[in-house]
Amino acid sequence: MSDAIETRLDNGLKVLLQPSHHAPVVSTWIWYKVGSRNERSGITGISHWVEHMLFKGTERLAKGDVFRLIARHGGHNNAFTSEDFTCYFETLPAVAWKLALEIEADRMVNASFAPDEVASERTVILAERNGSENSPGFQLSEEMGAASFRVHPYRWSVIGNACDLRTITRDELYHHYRTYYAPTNAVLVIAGDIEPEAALAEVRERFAGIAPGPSPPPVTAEEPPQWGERRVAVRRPGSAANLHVAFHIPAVSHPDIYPLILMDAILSGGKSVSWSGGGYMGRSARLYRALVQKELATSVGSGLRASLDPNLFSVSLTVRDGVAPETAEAALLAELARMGEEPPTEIEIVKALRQSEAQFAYGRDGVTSQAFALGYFEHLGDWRNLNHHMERLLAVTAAEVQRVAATYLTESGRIVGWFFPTNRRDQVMK
Amino acid sequence: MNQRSSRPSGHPVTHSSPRRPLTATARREVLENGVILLTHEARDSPSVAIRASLRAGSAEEEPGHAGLASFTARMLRRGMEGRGAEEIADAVESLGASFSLWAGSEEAALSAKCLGADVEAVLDLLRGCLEAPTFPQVEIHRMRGETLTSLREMEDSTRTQADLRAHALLYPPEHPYSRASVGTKESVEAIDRDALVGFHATCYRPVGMIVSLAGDFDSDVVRRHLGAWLRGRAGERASDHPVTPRAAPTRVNLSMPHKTQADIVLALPAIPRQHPDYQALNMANLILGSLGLMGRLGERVRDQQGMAYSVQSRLSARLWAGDWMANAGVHPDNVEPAIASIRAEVRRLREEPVTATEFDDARANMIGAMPLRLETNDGRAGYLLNTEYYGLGLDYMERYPEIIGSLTPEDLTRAARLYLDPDQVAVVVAGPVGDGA
Repeated sequence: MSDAIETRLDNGLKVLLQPSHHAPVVSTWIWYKVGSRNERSGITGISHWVEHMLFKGTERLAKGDVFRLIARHGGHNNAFTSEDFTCYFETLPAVAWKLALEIEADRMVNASFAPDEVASERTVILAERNGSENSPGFQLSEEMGAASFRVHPYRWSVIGNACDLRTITRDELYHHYRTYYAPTNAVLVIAGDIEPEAALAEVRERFAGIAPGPSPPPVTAEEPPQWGERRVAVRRPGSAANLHVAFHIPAVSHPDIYPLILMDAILSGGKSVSWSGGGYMGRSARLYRALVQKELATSVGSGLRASLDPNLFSVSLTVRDGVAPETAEAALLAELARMGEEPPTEIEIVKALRQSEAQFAYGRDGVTSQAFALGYFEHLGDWRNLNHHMERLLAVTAAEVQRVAATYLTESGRIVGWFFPTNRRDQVMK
Repeated sequence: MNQRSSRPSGHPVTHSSPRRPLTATARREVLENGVILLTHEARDSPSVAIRASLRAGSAEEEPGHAGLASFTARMLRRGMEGRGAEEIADAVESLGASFSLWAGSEEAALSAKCLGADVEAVLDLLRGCLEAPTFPQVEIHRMRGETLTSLREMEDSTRTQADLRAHALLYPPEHPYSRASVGTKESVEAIDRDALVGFHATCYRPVGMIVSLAGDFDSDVVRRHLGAWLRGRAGERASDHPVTPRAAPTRVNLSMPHKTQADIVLALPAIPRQHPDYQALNMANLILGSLGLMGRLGERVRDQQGMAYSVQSRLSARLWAGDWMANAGVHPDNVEPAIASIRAEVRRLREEPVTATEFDDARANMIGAMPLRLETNDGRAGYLLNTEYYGLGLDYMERYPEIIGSLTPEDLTRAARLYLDPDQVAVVVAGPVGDGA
């Protein structure tokens, strides 16, 4: 159970403090509510690029200083951009934890976006994109995104389209930063060896003087219903045929999300909702038994994207040598249909719940993971939901699992994507 | 706006000692069956992390049986006396536990995670897999197909291809370090049940096996279980396989025209973990290609020149030998400039002493990072295994500040001059580049 202490500064910054005295370590995360969902064609990838620029110097910090300062204390740090948010974290020995506050307060408003740094980072991000393009999985996922979303920004990848990466300007980057990087649009999470009152005083000292910032424009895009199956194929040299099937699901706030999480666990094993967790637990789950054990696939997995706007539940597999792609596809779709035709067994539900409970426990090992979980749940709605997560899962019935499977895993609502390796004639579907 | 006007650099770097020093509560003991057991009990998390290692890696393969060690390790969970693969999976996953078994060059290894209440049940299952695997024919067939697909994926990866070729250039072909432990298409197709049974019978023995556990368990219970593992299997601990890698100052292009980016590897022979020069060379490499945002290499090739998103160097100081490799992912047009930049940074490390700031930062990082690594059960179990694997001593963590504190910038320059010669690098480039040099 998390007994985090919530405070909101006058400028709108929400602060979550989670004391944890098992080790002299503190993990500090700041979450900004900005991601690829806040972009438009022409500036795709801008949120991720802004993330990069926050390491390239402020008025006081030279580029490289953030990494250097954290490293000299033996800490580690990183940052991530997703469809819905951008977050930055530092995990440090307790004696040096306030360095994280100084860095984040500074770069929330003082990042320089120097033109020559923008230019240099342009090629770095293009290199990052090029590296992803080396992977057939990435190529297919981009096509899947575009096919799954006709209207909503989730249609493009977080890294952005190459044409936009080549043309985004310094002013556009800076405008994006000023629009979304503000106390009203941020949550600060601190977990570790801290005393809450003293820690809050340190936070106030550095953040209270920052102006609230503008109200960011709302995301008004709404993906219209999909009225028929969509199919895409990528035909390029590769190693094996890969199948992805995606289905539209509601946003994370919808009550069907918990039955969907349990459905996913029954299909491919329970998953962690945090930074750390246990390994793969899907070998005794439905998809593995139906596809890998039956020697149609060499691997299979599933997952759902819990996000602010309606997203996708996806399943993927790698076709085994000698198996016709059509056969693997038919078997996968049949297994998914089965979920909607009859309720799961009590044994399956108990197992899925047990796995989810264990993953939840593993996810609480270490303050980095504890802080992540708080920020993640806060961003998806309310950090208190973390405390209700297992209780909500435990309340899901077999009938509900069947109902959501029947409701969402439909033929007309699915997007089927294939990667066919053109250098393997036996693994290509006409 | 923010009020402060001074640079936030005034933090003195002090090192906090852990509240409950790991070595005060960690234990090492050799059990009657020869298993070396390392434990750290802690109640701050309800989980348990388990690691194990034994000398059943590809180094133990007979010629012509490449991939057998890896195949054997991965087959252990596919059937044991009294339970098939499905039942084993069901038994472990019903507990919300997970485990993997794999083999590399030196070792077969195990990693498992479970809740404290389930430790005995999980240890029982693991014991069955390790002691009495049944290698069912149908599972061998399945595993073969999965392995062949993995091999194809490796063939299609620029990073893997560059890395494999670099290893093949440095190490003699008869040594396991020169090749992937998974084997080749031909060798995997040739693996049969007799070979698996034979390899298991020969190599899976308790003497010298290392097992580490960290988390919420009872040491007495664990000791009883592990003392029975592989009991009755006699035999000495497997021998070592020393080797001296050689510099291969050559350039190889592996043409993969359908790829967008080229992966570059620059490789040099180096030293094994226990070599007296290890700490100096390791710190030198930290400054060169690892510290912060990938050290000097990151600063130059990524930050200044914008040529790569990923560029770094690593020192693989292994059990019997070691190597140093720098790698970068770049646009084909930037291959030559990137290689030149990396070479230039290696040269600079040899010719000029590291700056006082770089040295202080690296030293502070190495000492300060240790307590953070020991925060989680995963970190603790890994640390314990490591200290035993390389013979570092259970109290390594306590001696570490002094070990690192005794290094000087001159030690780093000396190590760089001994081991990092930019004119001796083997260069491998895989991607949309032409064949040949």
